[in-house]
Amino acid sequence: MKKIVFLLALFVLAMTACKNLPPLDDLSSNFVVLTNYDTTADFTSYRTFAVRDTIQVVTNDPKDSVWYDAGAQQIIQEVVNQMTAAGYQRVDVHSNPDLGIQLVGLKNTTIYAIPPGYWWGYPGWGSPCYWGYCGGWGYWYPYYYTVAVSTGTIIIDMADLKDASDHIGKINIVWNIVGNGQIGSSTSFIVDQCVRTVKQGFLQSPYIKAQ
Amino acid sequence: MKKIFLIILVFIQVAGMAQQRGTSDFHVNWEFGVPVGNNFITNFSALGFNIGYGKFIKDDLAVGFDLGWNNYYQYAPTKTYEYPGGAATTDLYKYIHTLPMTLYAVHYFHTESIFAPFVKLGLGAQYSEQNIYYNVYETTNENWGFTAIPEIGTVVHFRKDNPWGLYTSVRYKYSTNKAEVFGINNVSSINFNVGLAYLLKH
Repeated sequence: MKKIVFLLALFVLAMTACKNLPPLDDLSSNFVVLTNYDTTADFTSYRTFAVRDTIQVVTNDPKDSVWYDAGAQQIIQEVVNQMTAAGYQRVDVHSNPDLGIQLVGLKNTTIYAIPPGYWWGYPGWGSPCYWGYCGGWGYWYPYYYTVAVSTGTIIIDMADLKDASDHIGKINIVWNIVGNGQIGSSTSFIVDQCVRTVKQGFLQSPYIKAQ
Repeated sequence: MKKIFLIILVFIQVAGMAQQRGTSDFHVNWEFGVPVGNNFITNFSALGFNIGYGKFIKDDLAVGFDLGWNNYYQYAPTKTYEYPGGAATTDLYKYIHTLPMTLYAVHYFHTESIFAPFVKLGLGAQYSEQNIYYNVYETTNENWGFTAIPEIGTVVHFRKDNPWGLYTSVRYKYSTNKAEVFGINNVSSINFNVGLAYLLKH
Protein backbone atom coordinates (compact mmCIF):
# COMPACT_ATOMS: atom_id res chain seq x y z
CA MET A 1 0.00 0.00 0.00
CA LYS A 2 2.84 2.36 0.96
CA LYS A 3 4.50 1.52 -2.32
CA ILE A 4 1.34 2.40 -4.25
CA VAL A 5 1.00 5.76 -2.51
CA PHE A 6 4.66 6.46 -3.18
CA LEU A 7 4.28 5.60 -6.86
CA LEU A 8 1.14 7.68 -7.21
CA ALA A 9 2.84 10.69 -5.62
CA LEU A 10 5.89 10.19 -7.82
CA PHE A 11 3.71 9.97 -10.89
CA VAL A 12 1.73 13.13 -10.20
CA LEU A 13 4.86 15.10 -9.34
CA ALA A 14 6.79 13.90 -12.34
CA MET A 15 4.01 14.23 -14.85
CA THR A 16 2.83 17.70 -13.87
CA ALA A 17 6.40 18.87 -14.34
CA CYS A 18 6.50 16.99 -17.55
CA LYS A 19 4.58 18.84 -20.17
CA ASN A 20 5.52 18.42 -23.76
CA LEU A 21 5.27 21.99 -24.98
CA PRO A 22 4.25 22.81 -28.54
CA PRO A 23 7.01 24.12 -30.89
CA LEU A 24 6.75 27.67 -29.59
CA ASP A 25 9.49 28.85 -31.96
CA ASP A 26 6.90 28.58 -34.72
CA LEU A 27 4.87 31.37 -33.17
CA SER A 28 4.96 34.67 -34.99
CA SER A 29 7.11 37.35 -33.38
CA ASN A 30 4.47 39.97 -34.23
CA PHE A 31 3.15 41.93 -31.28
CA VAL A 32 -0.07 40.71 -29.72
CA VAL A 33 -2.52 43.56 -30.43
CA LEU A 34 -5.26 44.28 -27.90
CA THR A 35 -7.88 46.99 -28.15
CA ASN A 36 -10.26 48.19 -25.45
CA TYR A 37 -13.07 50.70 -25.72
CA ASP A 38 -15.62 52.46 -23.59
CA THR A 39 -18.86 50.76 -24.60
CA THR A 40 -20.83 53.91 -23.72
CA ALA A 41 -18.75 56.17 -26.01
CA ASP A 42 -20.24 57.43 -29.28
CA PHE A 43 -17.24 57.74 -31.59
CA THR A 44 -19.27 59.54 -34.24
CA SER A 45 -19.78 62.45 -31.83
CA TYR A 46 -16.12 63.47 -32.14
CA ARG A 47 -14.75 65.53 -35.02
CA THR A 48 -11.20 66.60 -34.23
CA PHE A 49 -8.12 65.15 -32.60
CA ALA A 50 -4.63 66.14 -31.52
CA VAL A 51 -1.63 63.84 -31.09
CA ARG A 52 1.35 64.33 -28.79
CA ASP A 53 4.47 64.55 -30.91
CA THR A 54 6.65 62.36 -28.68
CA ILE A 55 6.31 58.91 -27.18
CA GLN A 56 6.70 58.59 -23.44
CA VAL A 57 8.94 55.66 -22.62
CA VAL A 58 9.11 53.86 -19.31
CA THR A 59 12.24 51.77 -18.82
CA ASN A 60 14.74 50.98 -16.13
CA ASP A 61 16.88 53.84 -17.43
CA PRO A 62 15.54 57.25 -16.27
CA LYS A 63 17.38 59.00 -19.13
CA ASP A 64 15.26 57.09 -21.63
CA SER A 65 12.02 58.90 -20.88
CA VAL A 66 11.03 60.36 -24.25
CA TRP A 67 11.23 58.85 -27.71
CA TYR A 68 11.12 61.49 -30.47
CA ASP A 69 13.44 60.37 -33.28
CA ALA A 70 12.43 59.42 -36.83
CA GLY A 71 11.22 56.01 -35.66
CA ALA A 72 8.87 57.58 -33.14
CA GLN A 73 7.62 60.04 -35.77
CA GLN A 74 6.87 57.13 -38.12
CA ILE A 75 4.63 55.54 -35.48
CA ILE A 76 2.89 58.82 -34.63
CA GLN A 77 2.36 59.54 -38.35
CA GLU A 78 0.66 56.14 -38.71
CA VAL A 79 -1.78 57.12 -35.96
CA VAL A 80 -2.48 60.42 -37.77
CA ASN A 81 -3.00 58.61 -41.09
CA GLN A 82 -5.41 56.11 -39.54
CA MET A 83 -7.38 58.80 -37.73
CA THR A 84 -7.63 60.90 -40.87
CA ALA A 85 -8.76 57.88 -42.87
CA ALA A 86 -11.45 57.29 -40.22
CA GLY A 87 -12.78 60.79 -40.91
CA TYR A 88 -11.33 62.78 -38.01
CA GLN A 89 -9.55 66.05 -38.50
CA ARG A 90 -6.18 66.76 -36.92
CA VAL A 91 -5.95 70.06 -35.10
CA ASP A 92 -3.44 71.77 -32.90
CA VAL A 93 -3.56 70.83 -29.23
CA HIS A 94 -4.51 74.44 -28.41
CA SER A 95 -7.55 74.37 -30.72
CA ASN A 96 -9.89 72.46 -28.40
CA PRO A 97 -9.58 68.99 -29.96
CA ASP A 98 -12.41 66.53 -29.20
CA LEU A 99 -9.90 63.73 -28.79
CA GLY A 100 -6.35 63.65 -27.47
CA ILE A 101 -4.07 60.79 -28.45
CA GLN A 102 -0.86 59.89 -26.67
CA LEU A 103 1.60 57.08 -27.06
CA VAL A 104 3.45 55.34 -24.26
CA GLY A 105 6.15 52.72 -24.59
CA LEU A 106 7.20 50.27 -21.90
CA LYS A 107 10.37 48.24 -22.00
CA ASN A 108 10.82 45.64 -19.37
CA THR A 109 12.34 42.27 -18.83
CA THR A 110 10.74 38.92 -18.29
CA ILE A 111 12.94 36.50 -16.42
CA TYR A 112 12.77 32.79 -17.06
CA ALA A 113 14.28 30.91 -14.17
CA ILE A 114 15.81 27.57 -14.92
CA PRO A 115 16.03 25.34 -11.88
CA PRO A 116 18.95 23.06 -11.24
CA GLY A 117 18.70 19.68 -12.86
CA TYR A 118 17.85 18.32 -16.25
CA TRP A 119 16.94 20.90 -18.84
CA TRP A 120 15.52 19.79 -22.13
CA GLY A 121 15.23 23.34 -23.26
CA TYR A 122 12.88 25.46 -25.19
CA PRO A 123 12.21 24.26 -28.72
CA GLY A 124 15.31 24.86 -30.76
CA TRP A 125 17.67 24.50 -27.82
CA GLY A 126 20.92 22.97 -29.09
CA SER A 127 20.33 19.25 -29.42
CA PRO A 128 22.69 16.89 -27.57
CA CYS A 129 22.76 14.99 -30.89
CA TYR A 130 25.15 17.64 -32.17
CA TRP A 131 27.72 16.33 -29.69
CA GLY A 132 27.12 12.77 -30.77
CA TYR A 133 24.79 11.88 -27.86
CA CYS A 134 21.46 11.02 -29.40
CA GLY A 135 18.34 9.42 -27.97
CA GLY A 136 17.78 9.95 -24.30
CA TRP A 137 20.64 12.33 -23.55
CA GLY A 138 19.91 15.67 -21.95
CA TYR A 139 21.86 18.54 -20.49
CA TRP A 140 22.31 18.78 -16.78
CA TYR A 141 22.82 22.11 -15.08
CA PRO A 142 24.12 21.69 -11.56
CA TYR A 143 23.31 25.31 -10.70
CA TYR A 144 20.45 27.76 -10.92
CA TYR A 145 20.48 30.39 -13.62
CA THR A 146 18.10 32.72 -15.41
CA VAL A 147 17.43 33.81 -18.96
CA ALA A 148 16.21 37.32 -19.63
CA VAL A 149 13.81 37.80 -22.50
CA SER A 150 13.28 41.41 -23.38
CA THR A 151 9.66 42.38 -23.93
CA GLY A 152 8.10 45.64 -24.94
CA THR A 153 4.72 47.28 -24.88
CA ILE A 154 3.31 50.15 -26.93
CA ILE A 155 0.13 51.81 -25.72
CA ILE A 156 -1.92 54.24 -27.78
CA ASP A 157 -4.48 55.98 -25.56
CA MET A 158 -7.37 58.04 -26.91
CA ALA A 159 -8.69 60.60 -24.43
CA ASP A 160 -12.13 62.23 -24.62
CA LEU A 161 -11.30 65.92 -24.24
CA LYS A 162 -14.69 67.13 -25.49
CA ASP A 163 -16.50 65.98 -22.36
CA ALA A 164 -13.57 66.22 -19.96
CA SER A 165 -14.84 69.39 -18.30
CA ASP A 166 -18.05 67.56 -17.34
CA HIS A 167 -16.08 65.26 -15.05
CA ILE A 168 -13.78 67.19 -12.75
CA GLY A 169 -10.39 65.52 -12.52
CA LYS A 170 -11.26 62.71 -14.92
CA ILE A 171 -10.16 62.38 -18.52
CA ASN A 172 -11.91 59.39 -19.96
CA ILE A 173 -9.72 57.14 -22.11
CA VAL A 174 -12.43 56.01 -24.54
CA TRP A 175 -10.20 53.70 -26.53
CA ASN A 176 -6.74 52.25 -26.47
CA ILE A 177 -4.46 49.91 -28.34
CA VAL A 178 -1.93 47.79 -26.51
CA GLY A 179 0.81 45.99 -28.44
CA ASN A 180 2.89 43.45 -26.51
CA GLY A 181 5.78 41.28 -27.49
CA GLN A 182 9.34 40.25 -27.47
CA ILE A 183 11.53 43.05 -28.84
CA GLY A 184 15.19 42.03 -28.80
CA SER A 185 17.55 44.90 -29.51
CA SER A 186 16.76 45.96 -33.08
CA THR A 187 15.20 49.43 -33.24
CA SER A 188 13.83 48.88 -36.73
CA PHE A 189 12.03 45.76 -35.51
CA ILE A 190 10.51 47.75 -32.64
CA VAL A 191 9.38 50.56 -34.98
CA ASP A 192 7.92 48.04 -37.45
CA GLN A 193 6.03 46.28 -34.66
CA CYS A 194 4.67 49.57 -33.29
CA VAL A 195 3.49 50.69 -36.74
CA ARG A 196 1.93 47.30 -37.30
CA THR A 197 0.24 47.53 -33.89
CA VAL A 198 -1.33 50.87 -34.84
CA LYS A 199 -2.60 49.50 -38.17
CA GLN A 200 -3.97 46.33 -36.60
CA GLY A 201 -5.51 48.26 -33.70
CA PHE A 202 -7.53 50.44 -36.08
CA LEU A 203 -8.37 47.47 -38.30
CA GLN A 204 -9.92 45.55 -35.40
CA SER A 205 -11.84 48.65 -34.20
CA PRO A 206 -14.23 49.49 -37.05
CA TYR A 207 -16.31 51.65 -34.68
CA ILE A 208 -13.57 54.34 -34.76
CA LYS A 209 -15.36 56.40 -37.42
CA ALA A 210 -16.24 60.10 -37.46
CA GLN A 211 -19.52 59.49 -39.27
CA MET B 1 14.69 13.44 -20.90
CA LYS B 2 13.78 13.64 -17.22
CA LYS B 3 10.39 12.40 -18.40
CA ILE B 4 11.81 9.29 -20.02
CA PHE B 5 13.86 8.63 -16.92
CA LEU B 6 10.84 8.78 -14.63
CA ILE B 7 8.69 6.72 -16.93
CA ILE B 8 11.35 4.02 -16.90
CA LEU B 9 11.58 4.29 -13.12
CA VAL B 10 7.82 3.87 -12.71
CA PHE B 11 7.85 1.03 -15.22
CA ILE B 12 10.59 -0.84 -13.37
CA GLN B 13 8.80 -0.36 -10.06
CA VAL B 14 5.49 -1.59 -11.35
CA ALA B 15 7.04 -4.43 -13.33
CA GLY B 16 8.79 -5.44 -10.13
CA MET B 17 5.46 -5.54 -8.33
CA ALA B 18 4.00 -7.51 -11.20
CA GLN B 19 6.55 -10.24 -10.72
CA GLN B 20 5.75 -10.77 -7.09
CA ARG B 21 3.84 -13.86 -6.18
CA GLY B 22 0.10 -13.74 -6.48
CA THR B 23 -2.25 -12.53 -9.13
CA SER B 24 -1.40 -9.60 -11.38
CA ASP B 25 -3.15 -7.52 -13.97
CA PHE B 26 -0.52 -5.16 -15.35
CA HIS B 27 -0.37 -3.04 -18.50
CA VAL B 28 1.73 -0.25 -19.93
CA ASN B 29 0.65 1.40 -23.16
CA TRP B 30 1.50 3.99 -25.69
CA GLU B 31 -1.69 5.99 -26.05
CA PHE B 32 -2.76 8.24 -28.89
CA GLY B 33 -6.01 10.00 -29.56
CA VAL B 34 -8.04 13.07 -30.23
CA PRO B 35 -9.98 15.38 -27.91
CA VAL B 36 -13.75 15.32 -28.45
CA GLY B 37 -16.53 17.33 -26.89
CA ASN B 38 -14.79 20.70 -27.16
CA ASN B 39 -13.64 22.76 -30.14
CA PHE B 40 -10.51 23.98 -28.39
CA ILE B 41 -8.29 21.30 -29.91
CA THR B 42 -9.34 18.91 -32.66
CA ASN B 43 -5.88 17.63 -33.61
CA PHE B 44 -4.82 14.03 -33.22
CA SER B 45 -1.92 13.51 -30.82
CA ALA B 46 0.46 10.61 -30.29
CA LEU B 47 1.84 12.09 -27.06
CA GLY B 48 0.45 9.85 -24.39
CA PHE B 49 0.83 6.75 -22.30
CA ASN B 50 -0.87 4.91 -19.49
CA ILE B 51 0.18 2.36 -16.95
CA GLY B 52 -1.97 0.23 -14.66
CA TYR B 53 -1.72 -2.47 -12.07
CA GLY B 54 -4.33 -4.60 -10.36
CA LYS B 55 -5.27 -7.98 -8.94
CA PHE B 56 -7.66 -10.69 -10.06
CA ILE B 57 -10.51 -11.07 -7.62
CA LYS B 58 -12.22 -13.72 -9.74
CA ASP B 59 -11.03 -15.84 -12.65
CA ASP B 60 -12.26 -13.30 -15.18
CA LEU B 61 -12.40 -10.12 -13.12
CA ALA B 62 -9.57 -7.85 -11.98
CA VAL B 63 -9.54 -4.51 -10.19
CA GLY B 64 -6.70 -2.01 -9.97
CA PHE B 65 -5.55 1.50 -10.65
CA ASP B 66 -4.57 3.18 -13.87
CA LEU B 67 -2.57 6.33 -14.49
CA GLY B 68 -2.44 8.23 -17.76
CA TRP B 69 -0.57 11.12 -19.35
CA ASN B 70 -1.67 12.89 -22.53
CA ASN B 71 -0.68 16.06 -24.32
CA TYR B 72 -2.58 17.67 -27.18
CA TYR B 73 -1.80 20.84 -29.03
CA GLN B 74 -2.88 22.80 -32.05
CA TYR B 75 -1.67 25.94 -33.80
CA ALA B 76 -4.15 28.75 -34.57
CA PRO B 77 -2.93 31.23 -37.21
CA THR B 78 -3.21 34.96 -36.60
CA LYS B 79 -6.81 35.91 -35.95
CA THR B 80 -8.79 38.62 -34.20
CA TYR B 81 -10.76 37.46 -31.18
CA GLU B 82 -13.58 39.81 -30.21
CA TYR B 83 -14.99 40.09 -26.72
CA PRO B 84 -17.24 42.62 -24.98
CA GLY B 85 -15.39 45.93 -24.90
CA GLY B 86 -12.44 44.92 -27.03
CA ALA B 87 -10.53 42.59 -29.28
CA ALA B 88 -7.18 40.83 -29.46
CA THR B 89 -5.15 39.80 -32.49
CA THR B 90 -2.45 37.16 -32.37
CA ASP B 91 -1.47 33.72 -33.50
CA LEU B 92 -1.26 31.12 -30.76
CA TYR B 93 -0.75 27.56 -29.70
CA LYS B 94 -3.55 25.86 -27.81
CA TYR B 95 -2.48 23.15 -25.43
CA ILE B 96 -4.15 20.52 -23.24
CA HIS B 97 -2.29 18.43 -20.69
CA THR B 98 -4.16 15.64 -18.86
CA LEU B 99 -3.37 13.23 -16.04
CA PRO B 100 -6.27 10.82 -15.46
CA MET B 101 -6.06 8.67 -12.32
CA THR B 102 -8.65 5.94 -12.06
CA LEU B 103 -9.64 2.83 -10.20
CA TYR B 104 -10.74 0.23 -12.70
CA ALA B 105 -12.57 -3.07 -12.97
CA VAL B 106 -11.88 -5.27 -15.98
CA HIS B 107 -13.76 -8.31 -17.18
CA TYR B 108 -11.85 -10.74 -19.41
CA PHE B 109 -13.42 -13.20 -21.82
CA HIS B 110 -11.60 -16.45 -22.68
CA THR B 111 -8.82 -15.90 -20.21
CA GLU B 112 -7.41 -19.34 -20.95
CA SER B 113 -6.91 -18.75 -24.66
CA ILE B 114 -4.34 -16.75 -26.58
CA PHE B 115 -6.92 -14.02 -27.20
CA ALA B 116 -8.34 -12.43 -24.07
CA PRO B 117 -10.80 -9.71 -25.07
CA PHE B 118 -11.94 -7.45 -22.26
CA VAL B 119 -14.26 -4.67 -21.22
CA LYS B 120 -13.06 -2.22 -18.62
CA LEU B 121 -14.41 0.74 -16.70
CA GLY B 122 -12.25 3.24 -14.86
CA LEU B 123 -13.57 5.90 -12.49
CA GLY B 124 -11.54 8.59 -10.82
CA ALA B 125 -10.10 12.08 -11.04
CA GLN B 126 -8.33 13.94 -13.78
CA TYR B 127 -5.87 16.79 -13.39
CA SER B 128 -5.71 18.94 -16.49
CA GLU B 129 -4.10 22.12 -17.77
CA GLN B 130 -5.47 24.05 -20.71
CA ASN B 131 -3.09 26.73 -21.89
CA ILE B 132 -2.58 29.15 -24.72
CA TYR B 133 0.84 30.38 -25.79
CA TYR B 134 1.26 33.58 -27.80
CA ASN B 135 4.39 35.61 -28.53
CA VAL B 136 6.34 35.05 -25.31
CA TYR B 137 3.24 34.92 -23.11
CA GLU B 138 0.97 32.22 -21.81
CA THR B 139 -2.46 32.03 -20.23
CA THR B 140 -2.82 29.03 -17.98
CA ASN B 141 -5.76 27.12 -16.52
CA GLU B 142 -5.44 24.27 -14.07
CA ASN B 143 -8.30 22.17 -12.84
CA TRP B 144 -9.44 18.84 -11.51
CA GLY B 145 -12.43 16.94 -12.79
CA PHE B 146 -14.26 13.66 -12.40
CA THR B 147 -13.37 11.14 -15.07
CA ALA B 148 -15.04 7.98 -16.37
CA ILE B 149 -13.18 5.78 -18.83
CA PRO B 150 -15.01 2.91 -20.54
CA GLU B 151 -12.68 0.77 -22.62
CA ILE B 152 -12.80 -2.29 -24.87
CA GLY B 153 -9.83 -4.18 -26.15
CA THR B 154 -7.95 -7.41 -26.20
CA VAL B 155 -4.79 -8.95 -24.84
CA VAL B 156 -3.05 -11.31 -27.27
CA HIS B 157 -0.70 -13.56 -25.32
CA PHE B 158 2.65 -14.19 -26.92
CA ARG B 159 2.25 -17.89 -26.18
CA LYS B 160 -0.40 -19.92 -24.48
CA ASP B 161 0.33 -19.93 -20.74
CA ASN B 162 2.70 -16.97 -21.10
CA PRO B 163 1.41 -14.14 -18.90
CA TRP B 164 2.86 -11.47 -21.21
CA GLY B 165 0.88 -10.27 -24.18
CA LEU B 166 0.14 -7.47 -26.60
CA TYR B 167 -2.48 -5.00 -25.32
CA THR B 168 -4.68 -3.13 -27.79
CA SER B 169 -7.76 -1.14 -26.92
CA VAL B 170 -9.91 1.88 -27.51
CA ARG B 171 -10.99 4.18 -24.67
CA TYR B 172 -13.49 6.95 -24.36
CA LYS B 173 -12.27 9.28 -21.65
CA TYR B 174 -15.02 11.44 -20.27
CA SER B 175 -14.03 14.19 -17.87
CA THR B 176 -15.66 17.21 -16.26
CA ASN B 177 -12.63 19.54 -16.34
CA LYS B 178 -13.84 23.00 -17.30
CA ALA B 179 -12.19 26.21 -18.53
CA GLU B 180 -14.86 28.78 -19.25
CA VAL B 181 -12.34 31.34 -20.49
CA PHE B 182 -11.61 29.04 -23.44
CA GLY B 183 -15.17 27.74 -23.79
CA ILE B 184 -14.17 24.27 -22.57
CA ASN B 185 -16.95 22.28 -20.89
CA ASN B 186 -15.11 19.00 -20.70
CA VAL B 187 -11.73 17.57 -21.61
CA SER B 188 -12.93 14.28 -23.06
CA SER B 189 -11.10 12.28 -25.68
CA ILE B 190 -11.09 9.09 -27.71
CA ASN B 191 -7.83 7.21 -27.34
CA PHE B 192 -6.19 4.11 -28.76
CA ASN B 193 -3.73 2.00 -26.84
CA VAL B 194 -0.96 -0.32 -27.91
CA GLY B 195 1.29 -1.85 -25.31
CA LEU B 196 2.21 -4.73 -23.08
CA ALA B 197 0.06 -6.66 -20.66
CA TYR B 198 0.96 -9.14 -17.96
CA LEU B 199 -1.92 -11.29 -16.72
CA LEU B 200 -1.29 -13.80 -13.95
CA LYS B 201 -4.27 -15.32 -12.19
CA HIS B 202 -2.64 -17.57 -9.62
